[in-house]
Amino acid sequence: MATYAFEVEPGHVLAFARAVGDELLAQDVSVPGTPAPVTFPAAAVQFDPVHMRGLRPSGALAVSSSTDGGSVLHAEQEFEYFAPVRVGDSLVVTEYGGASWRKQSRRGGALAFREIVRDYHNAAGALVLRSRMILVDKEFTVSDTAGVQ
Amino acid sequence: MKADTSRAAEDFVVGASRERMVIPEVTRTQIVQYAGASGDYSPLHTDELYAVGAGYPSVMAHGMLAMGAAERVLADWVGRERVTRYRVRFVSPVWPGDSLNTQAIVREVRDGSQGRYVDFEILTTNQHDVAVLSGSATARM
Repeated sequence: MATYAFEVEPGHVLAFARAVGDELLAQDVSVPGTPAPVTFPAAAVQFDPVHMRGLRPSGALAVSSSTDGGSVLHAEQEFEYFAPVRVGDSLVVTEYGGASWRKQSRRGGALAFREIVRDYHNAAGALVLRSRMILVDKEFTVSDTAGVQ
Repeated sequence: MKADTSRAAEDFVVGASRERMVIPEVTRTQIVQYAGASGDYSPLHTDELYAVGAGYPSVMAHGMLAMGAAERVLADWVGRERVTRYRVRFVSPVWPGDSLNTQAIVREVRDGSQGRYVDFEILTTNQHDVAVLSGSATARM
């Protein structure tokens, strides 16, 4: 379980807005209090103190396939908000493993799913956001089938 | 803020929808830009040689890039501060050169413990009308 501080910085929100093509937010640096894009908190990994240290990813992004020739892909993602996340917020992120299960696919072979949960608490200790990332470890590379990024 | 407060729950009726092109053309540059902003530097997204070696035709866009681009439909129509849940399945890869179109459709309007909630279906398709992202969202009005 990894825990780290995540400051919702205006310049970071601007870079994110430009990357996803958000014309309004991309115009200028957001003032404190501006609601952050719903998927922006996924970028909190930038604040994980070990992420990309020595050019190595951390946490969920470091997961590699259990099979030779297989790959780990992002199958599903959910954000559940209990309060908005705004520019200027100071949050604490806790990442931990959730459920895991297996499935057999006709084209991808054995599929192993695992859930990575991130809880985001505000400075008062209240849970403001829970994100769930579902990763799939595919035995074979299949570039045109479901559940795959 | 004025635009947000003028949006009343009655604007959202079952079947109402909004649709827009959210990315006219996915480029490798945009994928790199998203990697830099998000911190997801997976070689499947940033290293063409690696991606091809892994059996893919090229680097693929992050599913989260498509999810973030699709979110703008909700942000523009509903107001992102009202979104309480946003969930998608990444049903097909997004490749450089793809253009992505997103549609949000009201599927249910219901009263909950903290007010009125609107449930949306979210669908993003590419230029071949193939679904790349399929999901749902809920907003508290």
